[in-house]
Amino acid sequence: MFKRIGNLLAKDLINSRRESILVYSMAATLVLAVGALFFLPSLEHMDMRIAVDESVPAEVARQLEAYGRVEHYAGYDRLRDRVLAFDDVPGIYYSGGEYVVLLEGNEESYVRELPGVILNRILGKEDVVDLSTVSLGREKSPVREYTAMFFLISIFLIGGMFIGLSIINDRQSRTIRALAVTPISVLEYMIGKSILALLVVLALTPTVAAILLGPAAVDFPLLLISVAASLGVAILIGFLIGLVSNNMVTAIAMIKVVSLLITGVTVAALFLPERLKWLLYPFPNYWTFEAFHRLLIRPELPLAPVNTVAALYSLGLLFVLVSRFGRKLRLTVKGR
Amino acid sequence: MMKGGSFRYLLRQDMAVVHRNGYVYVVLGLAALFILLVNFALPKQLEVTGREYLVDLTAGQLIAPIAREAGFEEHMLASEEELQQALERDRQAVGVVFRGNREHPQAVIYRQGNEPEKAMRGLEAAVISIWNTAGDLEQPVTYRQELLRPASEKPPFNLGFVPVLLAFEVALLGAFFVSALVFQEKEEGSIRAFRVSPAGTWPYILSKITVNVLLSLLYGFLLFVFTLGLRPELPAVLLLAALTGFLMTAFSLTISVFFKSLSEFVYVTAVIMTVLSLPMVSYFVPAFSAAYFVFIPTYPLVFGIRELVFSTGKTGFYLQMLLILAAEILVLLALARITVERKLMREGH
Repeated sequence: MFKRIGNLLAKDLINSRRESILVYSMAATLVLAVGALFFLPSLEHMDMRIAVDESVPAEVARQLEAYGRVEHYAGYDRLRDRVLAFDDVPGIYYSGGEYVVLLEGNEESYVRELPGVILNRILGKEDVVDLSTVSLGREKSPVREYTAMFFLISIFLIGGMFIGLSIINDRQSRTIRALAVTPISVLEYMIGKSILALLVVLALTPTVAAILLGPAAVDFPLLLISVAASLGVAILIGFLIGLVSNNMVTAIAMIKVVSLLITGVTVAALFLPERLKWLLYPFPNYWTFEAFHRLLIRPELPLAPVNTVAALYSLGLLFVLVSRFGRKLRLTVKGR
Repeated sequence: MMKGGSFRYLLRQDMAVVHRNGYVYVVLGLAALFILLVNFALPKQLEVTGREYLVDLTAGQLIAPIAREAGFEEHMLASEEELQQALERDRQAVGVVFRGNREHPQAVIYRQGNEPEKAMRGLEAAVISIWNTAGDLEQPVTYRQELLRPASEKPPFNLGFVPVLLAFEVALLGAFFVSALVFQEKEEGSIRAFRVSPAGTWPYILSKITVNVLLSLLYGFLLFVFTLGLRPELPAVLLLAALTGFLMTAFSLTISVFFKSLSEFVYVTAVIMTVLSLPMVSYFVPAFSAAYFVFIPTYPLVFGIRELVFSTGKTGFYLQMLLILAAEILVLLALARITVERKLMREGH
């Protein structure tokens, strides 16, 4: 058994080295993670932008900077052109003794109201409202953690793609027909096809977490436990792609559908109210999301039960599907 | 010099490959999936920015009517305890507790602690403004609003998603399909036969582009008609879809020739597609836009399609978009010609 699995693994290793797939899959993920590092600061400090005409007194423009990023424009025409651009940036100019908030008309309601409200505060009488602020002490922005979570979940898709494309290669090169007359069982084939991809997932997840969150902020043992608990998800994705697709083009369509499913479940898990979360329970990747969510964002919630569900559910699904996979690949469950 | 006969022959060949490999069914399947997604799965309303919860503990409940009028009905909570629980659950939300009366107006803002300081200042100004209105505190209004066009309704979230699916998915389909064709020809060896034929590089490139443009049009037509209906903007949107398909095919041809197989190229495409998808952030949170977004081709495209479909009266943008796309196509077509000629049409590659 181990020899047969080892042979499959060796073959995959040779193929992936020949076509540099291993390098590309890992490099693509790491390039994106490093790229995200440059993008994250602007997401974490998402200040409103205000276009200000030169007619606005310098002192007022200076005070506006306390509320958002101020862009300066020389003359009404330039200000109007800026306001008419595709994004929602309001303009302010001063004319005939009054301030005018210039809007396109299609802005979000808060963009419509806020400039005037800010002007009122800057130019109005002293505040009569006794206003205080209480901070709950969560000083670290969760944007970085959410981004890391998306990346970690996407790595399972990368692992799945690795498995799926490798199965399609076997089917197109008719290797699978040759394997069908050997003693290899479908379970051995699944293990052999998955090992390399799972190693990629196990290597990439801590690396990407360390890049995005900083090594000090990552609990590596707990992260690896959560990743290990969800490895079945990557295998499920891989075999789904590899068995449904007849060629590389349908594989790409399947990758598209699966990535939509993974992103969709993640986004839905973030935005659905608690009372509707049960709708996501049937998706194995929901449990992966929940595990990473608890690990990175809600550490006060227990992690072990979610990891247990993630592992049992994905492996259970694989167990149920193994004979179906075997029929499709013309491999038997027990081998010949 | 391009040869018309070679082009027609290659186009027939490529169409046959597209048919044989089920590309058309893949396009139809993806279009059907997105049509179902827009019509039945995506909600009509969805907040993508942070939430604000309000608690009105003022004498005579002065704040509640204004908050309801402003659409905060669902975010009104009964007590400070409920607010604490909501902020515990929803780590991107902030809360405001209004207390006191007209003579002693008070408010407490509860923040998570990680919100940008400038945004918090804006929230403070908004809270004071709510009290000014609710308590009739006689603070002067210091400005007037000028709308460049009449205020327009925000489209429902699910339909607002259609420009995204048109802009990003056409780009994606173009990039993937043409590379699949190229790699298949490499694997089957037909590219070797092509090298010794008199057909030339231009017919090769243009036939691939034509096939992909036709697929983009099919996808765009189905998605548009079955989500938005038959509307007069359809031809203008389809022209954009066709040009985007053209652009992405040229782009994909330019770079795919450097790779050995689709398995390699798929990961590179993932990086490119992520970059092309960045303007989506700005699309869903319009007050946010990084300066470099405007240089990403999908940025004007997605906003342009939205403006065409859910017009707010903006003028002059369409021709500008067509000109930009045309310029990008010319550049990429020239690049595709160079790379295909050097990497694909010469022996040894």
